Amino acid sequence: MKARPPKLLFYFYLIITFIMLIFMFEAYSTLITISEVQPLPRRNSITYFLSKYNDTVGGFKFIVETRSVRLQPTGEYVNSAVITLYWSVEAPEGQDGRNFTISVNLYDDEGRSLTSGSITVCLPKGTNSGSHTITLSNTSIDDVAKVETSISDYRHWCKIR
Amino acid sequence: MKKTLIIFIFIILITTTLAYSTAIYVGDVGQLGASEKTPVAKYNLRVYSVSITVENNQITSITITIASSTPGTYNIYATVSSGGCSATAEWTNVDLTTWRTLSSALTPQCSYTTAGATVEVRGEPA
Repeated sequence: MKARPPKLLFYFYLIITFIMLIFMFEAYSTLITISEVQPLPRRNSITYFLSKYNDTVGGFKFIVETRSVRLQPTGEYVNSAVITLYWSVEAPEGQDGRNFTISVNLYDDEGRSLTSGSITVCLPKGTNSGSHTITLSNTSIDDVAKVETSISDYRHWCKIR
Repeated sequence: MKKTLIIFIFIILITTTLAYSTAIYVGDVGQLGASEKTPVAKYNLRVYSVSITVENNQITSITITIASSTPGTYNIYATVSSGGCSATAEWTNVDLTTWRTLSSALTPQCSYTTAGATVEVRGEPA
């Protein structure tokens, strides 16, 4: 008995099946590529502003610089900031130094203030450095996009007892 | 014969459709980072401290304490800007499975001018 040659329709189905198989493998390989994606950023940058104050009052010069800011964490929350200052302060005789107000403000991505705090400290005359702790309300570290410090003159000489 | 082929092609068609629909679903949701099938981690960089060293009014080095909400290996960049000058420190392949303290000298050395210095810390997966 003579074997029948395959019909044209059979070849047509064969080609269609082959094309579909290629598309299927391509689709699954796309799926594998997507599953290997790297972590995406929710926030990939944080900005700190370290302030510097420079002024002269009655011939007495003041330079106060923020040298470091440290947020104190409790778990994933911060509740205080430690500011390290460097200063060079001149004061009249009979006065021990000058009062300055040190502030820290934490902002979110939209520039909204999350928490802030300030202290007024007497910086003794001469050149020196020191750290000061500013209390803040509990704030999630993941919300913090910007940390800004500021220094202002309290406009009072001070005495250290 | 014809019937078998049609059924076979129909099965392949369904499988292909499923494969594509799954790929598209994961692709779309993956970009949002909320897919249940393929969760894509999103990281928050956490900068706990920034410290600069100043010598003769020049900012000579920087020290940062950094962590990430998603542990992994990151490249970290810190740009210090003051008075129109800026300098960048770079750390590559930093293992942030826990918080790390990173220090680097800065070039050029910018003057620490009034009203202060801006430090931008940026990180990306290595």
